[in-house]
Amino acid sequence: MDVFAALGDPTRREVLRRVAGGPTTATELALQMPISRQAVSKHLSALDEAGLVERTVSGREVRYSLRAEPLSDVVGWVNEVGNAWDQRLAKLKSRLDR
Amino acid sequence: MNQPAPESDQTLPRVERAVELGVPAAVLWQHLVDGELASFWMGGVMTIEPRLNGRVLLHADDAPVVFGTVEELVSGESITWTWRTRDGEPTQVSIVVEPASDGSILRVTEQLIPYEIIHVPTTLG
Repeated sequence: MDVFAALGDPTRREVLRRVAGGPTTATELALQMPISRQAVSKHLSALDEAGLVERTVSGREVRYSLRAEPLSDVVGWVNEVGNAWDQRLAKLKSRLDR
Repeated sequence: MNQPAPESDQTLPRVERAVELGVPAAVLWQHLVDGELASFWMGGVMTIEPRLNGRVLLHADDAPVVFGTVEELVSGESITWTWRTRDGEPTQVSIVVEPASDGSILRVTEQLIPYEIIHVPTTLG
């Protein structure tokens, strides 16, 4: 799953926001959110696959922390799409405002 | 767990722009929904069928074709379509045209949307 698809789910984004607050486990997240531990694990797997979280295994516990690097793809998207509309609206304005 | 409708989801990456134009809203609207007029400013040859489920196509020389479908339409006021390139991210474009004291204002929002809700036309005709 790529970073855009991983961010396409509101609950998954909420999981990511909480992980961004500091390393945590699926069990801890399930206590803070109105979803099951299994559901949290599923979202964490998707985030892991997209490279948005890092897993650290210590004993029987798996802790997840944020990996922010892939989010630069999102910044790139915002810049690209923003530039496209800036160009379009400038052309529209020069056409209609003459 | 309910998935909110895309238009109610304020947290996905999005781009918002607005421009004030010295023409009446009706003229601006025509430049939006008339493919020939839209092609002058959209950055490629624009095909747009201004009706619900109508096709939207943007064919630029230097970029992949973007294709999609009209999802919402209030004639003369607002149009929303979803579109994507073959390999790109699906997005939703919402454009609102409103009257202003000296003409009109165009507001555009483009935002990423989850894959599962985009309706891609089966033919590109």
